[in-house]
Amino acid sequence: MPSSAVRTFTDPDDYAAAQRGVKSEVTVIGRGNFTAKLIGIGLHRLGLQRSSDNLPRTAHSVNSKGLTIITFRTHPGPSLVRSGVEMRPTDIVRHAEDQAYFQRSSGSASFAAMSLPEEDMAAIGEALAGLDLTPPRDAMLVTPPPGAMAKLQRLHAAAGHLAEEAPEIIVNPDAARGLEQALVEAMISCLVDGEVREDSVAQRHHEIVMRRFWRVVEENPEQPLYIPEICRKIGVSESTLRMCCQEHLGMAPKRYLLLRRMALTRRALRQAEPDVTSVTAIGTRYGFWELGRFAVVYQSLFGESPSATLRRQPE
Amino acid sequence: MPLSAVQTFSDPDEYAAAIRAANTEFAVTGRGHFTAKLIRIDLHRLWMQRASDNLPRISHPTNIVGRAVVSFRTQPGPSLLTDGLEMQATDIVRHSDGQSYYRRSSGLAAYASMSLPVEVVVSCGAAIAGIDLTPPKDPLIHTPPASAMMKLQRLHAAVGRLAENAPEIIANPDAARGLEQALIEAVVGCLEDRDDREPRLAQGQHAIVMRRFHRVVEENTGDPLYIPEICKAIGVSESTLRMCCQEHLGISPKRYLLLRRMALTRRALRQAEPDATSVTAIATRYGFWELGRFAVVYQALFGESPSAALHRPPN
Repeated sequence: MPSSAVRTFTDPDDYAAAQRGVKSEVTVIGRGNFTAKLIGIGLHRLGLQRSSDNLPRTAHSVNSKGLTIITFRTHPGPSLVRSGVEMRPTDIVRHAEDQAYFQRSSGSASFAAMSLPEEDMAAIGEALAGLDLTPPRDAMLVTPPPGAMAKLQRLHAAAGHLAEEAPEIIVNPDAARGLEQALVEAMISCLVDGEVREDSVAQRHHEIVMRRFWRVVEENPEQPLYIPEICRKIGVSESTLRMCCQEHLGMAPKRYLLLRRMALTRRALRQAEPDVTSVTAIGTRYGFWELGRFAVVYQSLFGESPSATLRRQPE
Repeated sequence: MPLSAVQTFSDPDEYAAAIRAANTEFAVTGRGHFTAKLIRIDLHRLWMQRASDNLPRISHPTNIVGRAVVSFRTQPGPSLLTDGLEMQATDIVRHSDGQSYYRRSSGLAAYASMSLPVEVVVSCGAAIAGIDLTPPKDPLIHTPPASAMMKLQRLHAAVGRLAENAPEIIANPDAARGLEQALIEAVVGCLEDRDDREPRLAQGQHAIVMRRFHRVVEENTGDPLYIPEICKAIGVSESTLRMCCQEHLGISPKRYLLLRRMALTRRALRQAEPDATSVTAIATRYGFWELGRFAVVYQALFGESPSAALHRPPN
C-alpha cells in the first residue's frame, strides 16, 4: 500500500532517525535553531525522499543493503559536499551498495533521494540492452543531459508536493503506479544518458581513510580520542588524516570529535530522566571532565545550558 | 489518452473559445487589460478545468449534453454569480444537463469545473454514497461540509499544479485513473447529505426568461435590438426583463446588448484583414451608424481605437 509522510523536526537526532533506506548520524556544526523537514513517499517499489535542513552539519550515512539509491540536490545553495566532492544541482550521485559516507553542508541544504530494490534495477538494466544500473562498487557522479535532469527534478518535486497537499492521491494504488512509472522513467533516462565521473584514485584512497576513521570513532563513543592514537589505528600520518577530514568534514578531526561528543552528550541529556541522573554524570560519561568549560562550550553550541536540556520535556 | 494543457490569454474571445463548454460567449464589462489563464485536464472520463480571469465580465456557457457538470470558486474574491446566484468559495454548483447559463463576475474570478458522463456520475453516486446524482433541472448551489469541500479544493488544486509542473504524470494512464478516482470520491463526498438550497420559485421563471432572452439576442447579431421588441418576443413585461437581467447579468438589458455588440465588433475587427475591409464596414455591420460615438465608446471599453484593433496583428 503506497503511503507518504511529511514531518518537521527541531531535533537533529529525530531527523536522522527518520531517514529511510539509510542509517544516519547528524552532527550540527553551526549555531542556531535546527529545523528540518522530511517528505517520505513509498510507492509500490520506488521510495522517494525529500529532505531539507537549515544549519551547517555533517552527516554520516550507511546505506541499506539490497537497495539501489540515487541522491541529488533539489536547489542550488550553500555548498553540500558528499565524500569530499561538491554536489551540484545538475548532478546525481549513484550510491554504492552498503556504502558509508560523510556528507556535509555549510548552510541550508535540500536534497532528494530515490531508491529501488536491486533486483528491480537489475531487471530494468537488462531490459535496456544489458546496462548495469545496480549499485556500483564505488559511488559515482552522473551528470545527466540538462533536459533529463530538469524533468527528474520537476517530477520529484511534483510528487513531494502531492505528499504535502494531496496525500489521498499518493495512496491511490493506480496513481502511485503511474507516479512510479513516470519517475522511474525519468530516473533511468538521467542515468542512461548521463556523463559519468568516477572518483579519482586519491579520492578513493581518502574515502578508505575516512571509513577507517569512522570505525575507530564509532567504536569509542565515550572516551575522548587522541589524534595520534587514531592515526596509528588507521595507519596514516596525521597530515593525511587532517587533509582527508578537511575534505570530507570541512574541519579538523579534533574539532569533529569534539562536536560529535557534544552531540552525543546532548542526546543522552535529552533522553535521561532528570530525577535519576545529573549533568555531571552524563558529561563525565562522554569524557568531559572539566565541567565548567564543558558548560560554556555546550551553551554556545546549542543555545541552552546542559541542565536546561536535561530538564526539558521531550518534544 | 489523458492530457492536459495550460494556456494564458489576453484576448477574451480566444479565452472563451478555449473553455470547454460549447458556444461560450464572453462580454467584458469592466475596463482594463484583460488577462486569463486556463488549465484543461482530460483524465479518462473525468474532465476538469481551472480558470481565472481578471476583469468584470459576463459569460454565457452552454454545458455539453450528456455530461454532469459541477463548478466552484477556487478562491474567495469579488462576487461571482451563476444565473444570478452568488457563488461562495465554500459552495459547489451542480449544473443542469446541456443547459446554458449566465455567469458574471465583478472582478478577478478564479473557478474550477469538473464533468463526467451522466451515466458515470449516476452510477458513482449510487455506488459510493447511495445517492442520486442525476443533474438537476436548473443549476443548484450546495454548501458541502467544510472538510469535504476543502478536500475537493485541495485535490483539484493539486491536479492543476501537476498539469503545470508535471504533465507527464497526468499523461500516464495509471496515474490519470488514480487521480480520477480520488477526485470522483472527493466530489461525491461533497454532494452527500446535501441540503440543496431550494431554488426560489421565481428563480426557475427567471432562468426561463433569460434563456429566451439569449435566444432572441443570438438570432439577431447584426441589428441593434430594441427592448420592447425583445419583450414581445419573450412574452414578458419590460420591468420583468429588467429585473431578470439585473439578477443574471448585473446590468440592464440595454447595457448588456451594447457591450455584447461591442464585443462582437471587436472580434470581427481582430479577425478581419486590414487591407480588405474598414472600421466603417465592420461597425455598420454591427449596427453602429454613428461612427464618432462608436469610436469613443470603443476606446473607453477596450483601451484602443477600433482602427488599432483592426491593424494589430493577431496574437
